[in-house]
Amino acid sequence: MEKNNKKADVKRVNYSFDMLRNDILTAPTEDNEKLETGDKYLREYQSKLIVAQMLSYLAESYETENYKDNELLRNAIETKVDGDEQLSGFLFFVSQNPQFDYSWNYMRKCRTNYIEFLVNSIRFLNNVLVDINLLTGKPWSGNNIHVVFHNILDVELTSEEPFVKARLLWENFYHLVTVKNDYDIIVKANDTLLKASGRKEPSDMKKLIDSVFEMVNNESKKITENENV
Amino acid sequence: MNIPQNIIVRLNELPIEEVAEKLGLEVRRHKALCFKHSDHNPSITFSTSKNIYRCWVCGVGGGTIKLVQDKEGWNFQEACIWLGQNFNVWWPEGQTERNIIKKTPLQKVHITKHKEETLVFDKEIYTWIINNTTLLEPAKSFLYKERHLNEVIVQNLRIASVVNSLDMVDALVKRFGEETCLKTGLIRRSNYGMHFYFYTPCLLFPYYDQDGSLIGIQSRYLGTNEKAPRFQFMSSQKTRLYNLPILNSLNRGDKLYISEGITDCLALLSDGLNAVAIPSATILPLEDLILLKNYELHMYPDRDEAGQKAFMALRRFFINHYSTVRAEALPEGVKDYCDYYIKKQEIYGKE
Repeated sequence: MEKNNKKADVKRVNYSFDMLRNDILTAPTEDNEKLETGDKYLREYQSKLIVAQMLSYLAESYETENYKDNELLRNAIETKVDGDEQLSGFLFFVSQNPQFDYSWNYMRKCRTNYIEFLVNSIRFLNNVLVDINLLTGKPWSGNNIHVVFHNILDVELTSEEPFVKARLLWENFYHLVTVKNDYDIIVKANDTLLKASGRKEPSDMKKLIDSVFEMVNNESKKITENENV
Repeated sequence: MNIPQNIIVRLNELPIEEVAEKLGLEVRRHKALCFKHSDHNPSITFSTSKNIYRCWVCGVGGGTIKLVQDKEGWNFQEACIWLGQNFNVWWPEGQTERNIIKKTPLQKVHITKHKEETLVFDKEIYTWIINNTTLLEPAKSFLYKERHLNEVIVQNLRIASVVNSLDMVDALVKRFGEETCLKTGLIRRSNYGMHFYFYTPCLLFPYYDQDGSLIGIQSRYLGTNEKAPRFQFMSSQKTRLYNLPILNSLNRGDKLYISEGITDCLALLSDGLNAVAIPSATILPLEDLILLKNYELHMYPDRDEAGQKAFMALRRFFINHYSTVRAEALPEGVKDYCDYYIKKQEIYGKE
């Protein structure tokens, strides 16, 4: 039995950034239809799409072990942002607005906060990918389980490869700015809340998965027993 | 000053594209203009998986430290110090712990040196070729019998063929003179005399811009010489989109397919769909692609890895321009749209 499980594990394809992009960048056609009522919403959605895409590619390029260290990642992003001459030009251009008193001061702060936002988003996306791959290690099929990460990304566990389908909750996209070292995870089954937890380490996710899996299995057993009775 | 081995490994692991950008190179889609020779189309490619770079024209290449050495003309130590300072990698002075970490072997770069060429795209000569060549037997057979393409589409796109290269050389020299022909690169001189640039027999696909002005020609070899390249290209500018004039007949929001290569484009057009083509999976003519952003864009990505990558690169490009391109799935067992079209024609075409 264990051997079979091992074989299945070997065959299982890891959920990757390409798959995540395919899910979040192509699925929104349905959202598009919902948003068609207002040009403003459509424009905002398209801008969010650009940011989601940018962050996913950025997170992927800093996925390696080299950047697991927070300080190294921050330095790399700082080097990248500070070295972006076009961004500097844009910040200057925006700062030439009476509201900012024609001053760079506010923009400098913004640039520092922007670096922090990028670092946190990269870490968040990379951690979410790790979490998704932990989730796919369990046979969840048939329970209509949804795992929602920081109220931004809704991951449905499916019975077909790659066993997950991700969907960005565009209306909550702004939550990305609030992601820090830790984030919230909510597990639902058929819209019923099963568990909510904070996540700091991959071990937190493992614990959460184990407890939810046990809960779901116990529930299934009860249903089977009742049916037999 | 000796640089510790672990630091050398770490410097060589710095993302090569970031290092290149810090050196002032403009990296786009893993490519950049070469700093060692006069370069107009990016000849340097970066492999992010191997963390190396290579210029396919002049042959320079190597890892991160080598890139800094080559670009700045510095020695090994100077390059390491520059990388350390710019990417916050520090080592205590006097630390010389060697062999702590086994050195990561760098990929050996095999280099083929090419002679640099500056050719003149003479529109008059190329227009003359297109106007004075017709579709001859091997070409007709390929397009109509083998590929089942629509004759009207082929005629409208002014697709021509050259079967006998010696006749073509004679005709061109007679009309335009040897010197002019040699300048265009269409005719080349070798120890055996003069020969036509394109391997023959071949098809010639003219590229026009949106105004209908000839901007390039691509050939498709139809012979049996295995060493001959399947496609060759001559153009006035950097590579362009194929079938740009179709945009004149479309309205904003109309459905438009982007194909990978001309043959898929011809199959889509023969199937009654609006289509343009990128020259290959790795060449994206961005300044032409921007013209497409107001259409409803679709693509049948080829089933290979290059096809999937091309689709993802196009989707990335169009999302950044407030548009998108949708992937359509090919049926199981077909590798690209042309293959799909041929199979459909073989089953339903005769009915």
